[in-house]
Amino acid sequence: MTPALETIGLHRSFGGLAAASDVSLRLERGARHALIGPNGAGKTTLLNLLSGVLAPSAGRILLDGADITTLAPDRRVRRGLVRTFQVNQLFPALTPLQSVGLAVSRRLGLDTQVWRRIGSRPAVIDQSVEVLARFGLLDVMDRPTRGLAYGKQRLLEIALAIACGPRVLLLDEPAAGVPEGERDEILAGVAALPDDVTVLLIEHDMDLVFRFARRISVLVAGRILTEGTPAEIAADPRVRAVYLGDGHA
Amino acid sequence: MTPRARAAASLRAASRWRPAEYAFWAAALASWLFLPGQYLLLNEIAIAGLFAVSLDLVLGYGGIVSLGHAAFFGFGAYVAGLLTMAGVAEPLTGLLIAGVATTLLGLATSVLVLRGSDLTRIMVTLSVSLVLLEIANRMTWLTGGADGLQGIAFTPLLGLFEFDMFGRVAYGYSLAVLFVLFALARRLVVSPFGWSVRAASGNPLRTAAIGIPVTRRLVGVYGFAAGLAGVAGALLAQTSQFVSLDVLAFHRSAEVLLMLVIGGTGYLYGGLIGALLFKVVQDRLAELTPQYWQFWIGLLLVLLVLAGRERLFALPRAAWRAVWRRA
Amino acid sequence: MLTNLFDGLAYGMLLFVLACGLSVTLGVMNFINLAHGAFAMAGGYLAVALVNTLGVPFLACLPLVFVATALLGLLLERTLYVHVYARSHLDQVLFSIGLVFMAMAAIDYTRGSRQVFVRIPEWLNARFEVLGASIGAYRLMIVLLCGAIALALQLVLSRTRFGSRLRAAVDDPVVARGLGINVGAVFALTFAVGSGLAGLGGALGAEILGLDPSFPLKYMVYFLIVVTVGGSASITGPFLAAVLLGMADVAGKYYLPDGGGFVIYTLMIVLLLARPNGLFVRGGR
Repeated sequence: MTPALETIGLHRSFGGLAAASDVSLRLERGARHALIGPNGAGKTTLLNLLSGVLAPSAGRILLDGADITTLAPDRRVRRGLVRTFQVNQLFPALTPLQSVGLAVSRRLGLDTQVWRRIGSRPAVIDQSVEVLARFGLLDVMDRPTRGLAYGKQRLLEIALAIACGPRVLLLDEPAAGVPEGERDEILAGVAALPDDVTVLLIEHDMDLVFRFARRISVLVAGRILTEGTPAEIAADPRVRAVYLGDGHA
Repeated sequence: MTPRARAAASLRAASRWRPAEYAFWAAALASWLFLPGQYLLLNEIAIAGLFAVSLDLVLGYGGIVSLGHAAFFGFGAYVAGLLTMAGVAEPLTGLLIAGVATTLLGLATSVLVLRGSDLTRIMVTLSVSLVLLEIANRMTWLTGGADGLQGIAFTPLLGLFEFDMFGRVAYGYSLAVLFVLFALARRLVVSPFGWSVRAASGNPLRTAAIGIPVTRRLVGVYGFAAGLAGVAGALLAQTSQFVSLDVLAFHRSAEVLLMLVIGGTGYLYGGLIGALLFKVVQDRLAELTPQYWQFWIGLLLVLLVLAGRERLFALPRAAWRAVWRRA
Repeated sequence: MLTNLFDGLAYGMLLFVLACGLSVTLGVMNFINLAHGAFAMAGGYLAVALVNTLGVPFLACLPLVFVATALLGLLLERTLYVHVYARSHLDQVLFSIGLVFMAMAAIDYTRGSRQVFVRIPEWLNARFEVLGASIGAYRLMIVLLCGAIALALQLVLSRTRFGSRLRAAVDDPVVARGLGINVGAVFALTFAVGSGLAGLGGALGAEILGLDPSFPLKYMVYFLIVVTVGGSASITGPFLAAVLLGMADVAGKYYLPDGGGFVIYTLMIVLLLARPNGLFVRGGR
């Protein structure tokens, strides 16, 4: 079967420093894959390469077998490759409803409409409300995003990606900065995704990774150190060395 | 109320015409009916208002700081003026052609403008307007150079209404065009396209990450805004029956920026209110110190910024929004 | 040909002295100061007053003009500019255009709108032939003087403690603050010197550039080109940019007399297209 997302020998360096070197990943359709690694291992760089924010110096990226290496970020999203950001990237002046409504309008191909107002199609309202409800944002959907509590903003960060209707979803530390008690809300929203959606999770929190992932890749200094099931990774002495040596649990 | 109904109502509310808006346009219509002595000033206000609304689309919605918006105003004015010499003397036709031509110019130059930082944009917009000014200045055979376009004459509007010397037809014409184009712009900014422009200027990274091509959206709004500015310029050419290099001058770009900033950016009415205040004050001050009016503009700009533009206009804007919100 | 080249060189070096202060303003504080030319104009009119009215010898008036405009710069920096550094670029643009308009109207009001000239001593009007080029003494003096200033600036920047602090501040203001450098003071001093040099340039340039109330607007684009193309990382960048610009402008006006400012504006658009962020790295929002 064609993998949902595949990278072949992906490489990117800044100056002389390789932030990603020879990264080859393979995500089957419906995968729940986690990418872990110590700080500075190049996880976010890899995500920027995948989403098209950065261009690789070498290597290829395939989405459902099609080469998307040179595709602009917005074109990748249209093909179903959607990401979230480690640091919230929201529209501070828009309300959650407007933000999500815009993403849904785009997905339905209505974003170039100039004559009808936003949300004039019932489908936009239905789907926006559905996504907002899933992330517990209905009660704040009318307030400008900049005034929302951090936890709500974090939920919106994920909700915006879901609203794009991803077939492959890249989550960059979705629980970053969210207190223990609120993490379940985020996870629940992601877990409710259909089974055929492929998810790549970048995460620091091992607890979350082991609860969520069915396969794990370990990235160290821009290279894939190893890949395996959570049990294999947990037992791998090299992974332990990397993490203990780096001071992370 | 179900969440769905609430959401639908909320999105609808953001685009509905408010009583304050009806009042605003009723007042504008009343000015045409009851202030015949002020037609010349009112006509200037309507034209400047359209010009400022155009800049609001670029700056308030698109987030592009432009120091050369007069390029489009002036281009539209020259196109409208030259058209009469080419035999197209019906005003509305000329207006349409000028608008389309300026839109094309806006689309063409947007490639230059949408690259780089604020500073680059400021310089490129400035340079584009200076290049146009220089061209108009040098191509004397076409533009009349420093003497301006002489001998523009229009046939009656739609073949029915002759421009009179009091400016009754002129102001009515400008006001009608302003209203139609304003309504168009207003419609645009509450459409998915309009929201995507706002998103693109607010957070380009995320806008691309929800699948919206940032540059193309900004190009679109820049082109449309250029067209509006071109129509404003054409209106000036038609109602004053004269075009000079002044339409492309730097001070025009700076003044429209000031008007917009006075009225506040990002809600379209700011351009109209700013133009009204600016022109009325200019009219009064110019009587006192005709030559040194520029000094007061400068002082106003400096004080505006020092006092905190945002803080200063938070109040009138909040007031306007409060009236606006009351359904 | 050679004559043009030399005139272009003189013109370019003059532009450098006029604009180098602006490159620091942009580099250190990321501040878009469109009013830089107003300081040059102030210097020019001060020179006119000193030389023509008070009879101060031309060469003696130059240091006086420098000091006076530097003090004016310092005063405005401490009272006005300092409030606007942290504002948006739009606010900076509005603020500095406001200053330009005020300066232009004030000069117009007090001095009239006509072009004015500084009375320069007879011996500076001399011309002599070198290698077939006709070289004016006044332009030669400009080349020498501006060259000396550029050299001095380079030495100050590379050899002195102040220079290393300024370079640190340009490089990364945040880190520089962390290192205990008083960036505010460094900047105030630099702003003053930059204004002083602009004033000096205005005094020197009155003869070549023409001096009237529209001066700050007329040359605004030129200053901006120098700093965008030249960057703010060194003295060499703006210097080369200024000299190139000067030569291109003189050549453009000579060989394409109908082109006027067209050549320069087009050149700038092309340059900005080729390098959207100029060579000026910290131009982002």
